[in-house]
Amino acid sequence: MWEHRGRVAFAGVGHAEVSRRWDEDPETSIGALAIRAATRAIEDCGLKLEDIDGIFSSPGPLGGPWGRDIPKTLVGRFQDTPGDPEDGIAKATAGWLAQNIGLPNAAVIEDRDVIIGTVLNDAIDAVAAGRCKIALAVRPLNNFAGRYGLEGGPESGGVSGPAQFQHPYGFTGPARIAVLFQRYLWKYGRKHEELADFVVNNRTNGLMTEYGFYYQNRPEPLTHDEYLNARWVTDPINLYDCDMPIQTAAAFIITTADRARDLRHPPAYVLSRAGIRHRPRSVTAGLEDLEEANAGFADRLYSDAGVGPKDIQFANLYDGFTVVTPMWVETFGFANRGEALPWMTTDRIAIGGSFPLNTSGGSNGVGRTHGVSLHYDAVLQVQGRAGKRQVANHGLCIAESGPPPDAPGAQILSATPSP
Amino acid sequence: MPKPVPLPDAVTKPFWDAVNEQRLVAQFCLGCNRYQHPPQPKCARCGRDDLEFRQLSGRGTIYSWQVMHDTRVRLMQEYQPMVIAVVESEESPDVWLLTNLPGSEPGEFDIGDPVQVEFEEVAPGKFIPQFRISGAPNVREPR
Repeated sequence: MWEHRGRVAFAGVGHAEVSRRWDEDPETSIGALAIRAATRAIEDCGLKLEDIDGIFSSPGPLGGPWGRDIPKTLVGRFQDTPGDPEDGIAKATAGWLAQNIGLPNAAVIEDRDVIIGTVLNDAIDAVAAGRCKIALAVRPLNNFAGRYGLEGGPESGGVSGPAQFQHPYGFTGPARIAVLFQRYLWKYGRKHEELADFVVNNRTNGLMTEYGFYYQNRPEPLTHDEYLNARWVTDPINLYDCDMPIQTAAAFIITTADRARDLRHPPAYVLSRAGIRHRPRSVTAGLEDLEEANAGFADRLYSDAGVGPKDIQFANLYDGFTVVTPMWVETFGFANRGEALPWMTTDRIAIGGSFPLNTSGGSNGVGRTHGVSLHYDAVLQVQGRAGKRQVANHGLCIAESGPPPDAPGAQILSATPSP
Repeated sequence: MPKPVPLPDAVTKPFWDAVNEQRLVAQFCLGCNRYQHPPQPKCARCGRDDLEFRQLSGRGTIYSWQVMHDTRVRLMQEYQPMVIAVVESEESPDVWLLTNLPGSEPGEFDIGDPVQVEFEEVAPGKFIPQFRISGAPNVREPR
């Protein structure tokens, strides 16, 4: 078991409002949103700015840099990072945030170019090691006007780096995920349409999630027919399998279990945390390699926590591409290999079901937060304050962000320090 | 519209030079007797730089595939929808190459089917490997 099992906890969270794209207003810049999320997280715990002694950010940019003149209304609005005019606009670094939130006692100020689950793990480890007592972890997520992530126009003259082996075939975006899912469907004799219950349920949950894109901007359910008739992005991944790029920011407060017990909400204790970094086999990653490596990742998470899959009461697993969630369901042992899709039925995975899955609706149900809501809602659920989407059995869960081929990060959270 | 043209660097140049001569090669580590692709400055497994390029047969099998309808690669958008397949070379499970599988439509092939390399000229004198279904497809159940 992990030596710090149950000694670190999430104390609170904060979220900024969500929009589809930045409207170039200074008050909805990614910097302003990140400040708002951080301030709300600090207030959520009943803490003061001077209590924060560690800040961690995964700064971005997510959908590419701004790359244009800084809008005039933004000039002088914030304290700039010398030599980096995009800080606060296309990203929000920990240093920029510490300055602009006004954290006089932030001693640990660190950026991580990784998924939120891994940023949270680093903050957890910093608290566990005594490097800081109260850590603030922030994830800004920017989305500008125009098509997201277009690459390689006629002016580029050619493709270099890893793309030289991919772009000449049109291989980009979710293509590497489609490779895995097509192989999965073939290997286990499954069909894409078996995802429908899960995707529809994500929207159902997302419409109960007040910090999500659909709740705030597009409160419309998704039907099975709409899902099954959606256009392909890359078959076997359709439009509704991909999360919607959005502009928002979220923040988490992590501290020692002792300190968390004195704060406003019941602690969400961290029983274990784990991450893994993969090296693709060749031009892209393969399913079998990931199944094997991620099984080791799950084993570490469970053995460090001293619990097993049967103890877990609900799970929030990465669904930025929904086709990877069945792989995670199997990796964490909730269903056997190849059996996750028929397992992921509404009666089981809904908020009122026997094993709620992705209680916020995940990235699929709240928008492209790169998995933020999976951890965010795990904290709220374990603390018992998830409102009308509160699950009945909320004592023990897994929160995981990141698709299988990248560098996912996960925690097991518990309502008690030693279940 | 032109297709994207690979821009070789010092490490990948021998691969593309061979492709431009319509030969398929892959990097082989003499330290651990394994292939790796794409080429790297050192062996990703053993860390040695005792690497050479070896000629491949150009034969392989389909590891996985998809039909791309909405690529972010602007120069490839006009060719959509397009098949993109991952090919595993017969020499090594560590050498995978991409292809648009010219000559085949979805439903006419599946994972495991045998393929043979050919070369597509994407700019004057600049080629990329492509693969075509070869021989009899594997016997399989309809999907």
